[in-house]
Amino acid sequence: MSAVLDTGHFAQRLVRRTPVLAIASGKGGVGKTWFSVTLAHALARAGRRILLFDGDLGLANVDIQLGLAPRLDLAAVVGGRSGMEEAITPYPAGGFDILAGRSGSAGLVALPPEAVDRLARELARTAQAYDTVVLDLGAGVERTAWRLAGASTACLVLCTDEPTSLTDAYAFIKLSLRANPTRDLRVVVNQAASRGDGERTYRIIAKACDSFLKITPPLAGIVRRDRRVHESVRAQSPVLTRHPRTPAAEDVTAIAAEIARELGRDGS
Amino acid sequence: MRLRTFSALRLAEAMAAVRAELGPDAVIISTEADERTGEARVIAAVEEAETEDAFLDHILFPPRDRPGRAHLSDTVANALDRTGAPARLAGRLIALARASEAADPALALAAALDERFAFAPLGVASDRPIALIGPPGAGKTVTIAKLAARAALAGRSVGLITTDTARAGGVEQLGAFAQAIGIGAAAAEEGPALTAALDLVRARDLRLIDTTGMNPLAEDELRRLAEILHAAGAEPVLALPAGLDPLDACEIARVAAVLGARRLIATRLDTVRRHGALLAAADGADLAVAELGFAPEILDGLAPAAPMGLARMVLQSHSASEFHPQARAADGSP
Ligand SMILES: Nc1nc2c(ncn2[C@@H]2O[C@H](COP(=O)(O)OP(=O)(O)O)[C@@H](O)[C@H]2O)c(=O)[nH]1
Ligand SMILES: Nc1ncnc2c1ncn2[C@@H]1O[C@H](COP(=O)(O)OP(=O)(O)O)[C@@H](O)[C@H]1O
Ligand SMILES: [Mg+2]
Ligand SMILES: [Mg+2]
Repeated sequence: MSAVLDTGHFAQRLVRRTPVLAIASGKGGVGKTWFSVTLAHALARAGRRILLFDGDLGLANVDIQLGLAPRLDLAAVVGGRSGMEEAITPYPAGGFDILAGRSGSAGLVALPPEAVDRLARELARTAQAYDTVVLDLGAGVERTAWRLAGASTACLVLCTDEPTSLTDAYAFIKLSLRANPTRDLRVVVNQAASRGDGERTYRIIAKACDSFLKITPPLAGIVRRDRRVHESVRAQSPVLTRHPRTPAAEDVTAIAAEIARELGRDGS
Repeated sequence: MRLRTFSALRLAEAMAAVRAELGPDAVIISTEADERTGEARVIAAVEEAETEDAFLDHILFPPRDRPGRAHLSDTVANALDRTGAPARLAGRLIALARASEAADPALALAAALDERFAFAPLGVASDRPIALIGPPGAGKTVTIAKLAARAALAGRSVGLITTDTARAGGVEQLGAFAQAIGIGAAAAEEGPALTAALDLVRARDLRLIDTTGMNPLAEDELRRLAEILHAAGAEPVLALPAGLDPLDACEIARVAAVLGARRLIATRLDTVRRHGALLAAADGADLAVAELGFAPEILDGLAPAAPMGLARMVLQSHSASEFHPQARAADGSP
């Protein structure tokens, strides 16, 4: 077992695989898409070449949150009408690139496993032109999201203080670890009333993981609830453009800085 | 994982509520006192392996032909319609199944059932004696034998008592089962005799009391049953046979609830194709589903109730000629 893992690490170094950060939640509506967009934006502002990949194949909305109308999207790639590079839309205002998903396309959710695996391989190849890929995953129990998450380097699991969000995030962590016990999973508490509240929420999920899974996923950060988030989502413009100093923007920027530091240290 | 918050004036009360609702395996996630009211607040969690394992199996080893979403909710809706469950309940379950976002009909329905119903198997040990109550012919005596056999096989000590002394053969039937399992059984008419009989088996892990068939419309009979339950300090559990009219089943369940029942055992599930009565009764009287009886055999005819088993039963019983939740759950085929 460990020999296999070692070879994997070694191979990874050789081909210098671009890190893929998956953003998962298990439950919809916790702010996955907003967080993905803002994290991509913050990493881009820190000088990294970023691709934001909308992997929420059921209810894609990166393009909607940013007010874009991309000519090509993931559906075109899956349908063989476009290559993946071709389907990428630049987003100059944010300084990063986007591969749009497809809103309300049930066909994408029901992709057969082989097609998803092909997609994951193509993503890994396309990613080589970037420093980091941010992957917005769909509802965590969808098989498609699951397989895409399996192709990621690290996974940020978003949750709020709502019990359903906590149990879903826990289920996602549990299943992820079962599929790959060495997976790099970290918790982000979103929509926290305060830092203290966010820490309390993190302790709940950490304690549950510790009790039942004997593992404690680290805290990647706390993002405070902030009405400017909603305002900028409604205005279809990124919060970091409109209100770079608002609490939620600062929180995500801090998380991005920490991630950028870590990725830089790994030399990828 | 199930996560719940419990509030009470004192910590000990909140802790007791945790144990009562989530059982002995509950883990305390946090305890705190409300700054304003001083109320104790406990967050606790339990693992529920079955549903999550099913999710995992499904995701890692998906069936080759996964139905699309529209098809999925149609399958669930058709199956629920066929059960004959009251339209409002069926509609609610269909909505929950859709909202679950689960990727196959059995999982979606299981998620809906899990949300709407409580599942509370009886296990092989209990502090309180357990009395099976229910209409004549419900399967009370046979189910007691099944429960006793299961506990005995698990190495537990069992005490059997029947209060069904009036009906011809009532005592003999239980006695025959008891002998087959290799344990004793006692008969006790009521009150003092019952207390004495219970006292003799005080130290047993599981004490089971068989009762005379109850007529939900006969008040004097119900009063007598209530006295027996009270004298025994027993937890009444309803044995509900399949095949009743859903509204009748609901009425029986409500009467059982008034007598103190909190859970039911569904019996004779193998004898009908439509299980609306079971759903209506559990829902209408707010009874948890404890066990599923699906064969007359003592050794192999009872399974602890769980959302997945019940979902498969509802989905399959219209076409399948034979139903065995354990076998189906084990081979994992959808
Ligand atoms: N097919 C089938 N028959 C059962 C089941 N449970 C009980 N029975 C039968 O139902 C009849 C009545 O059972 P009994 O235990 O005497 O009912 P009681 O009057 O409630 O004690 C008997 O013939 C049992 O064999 C079951 O799960 N499946
Ligand atoms: N930190 C936050 N503060 C306030 N509102 C937030 C925050 N994060 C997300 N939201 C709100 O939650 C809504 C849902 O977010 P979205 O990114 O679409 O969730 P998901 O992708 O998880 O379904 C957004 O419209 C946004 O207004
Ligand atoms: Mg989204
Ligand atoms: Mg009997």
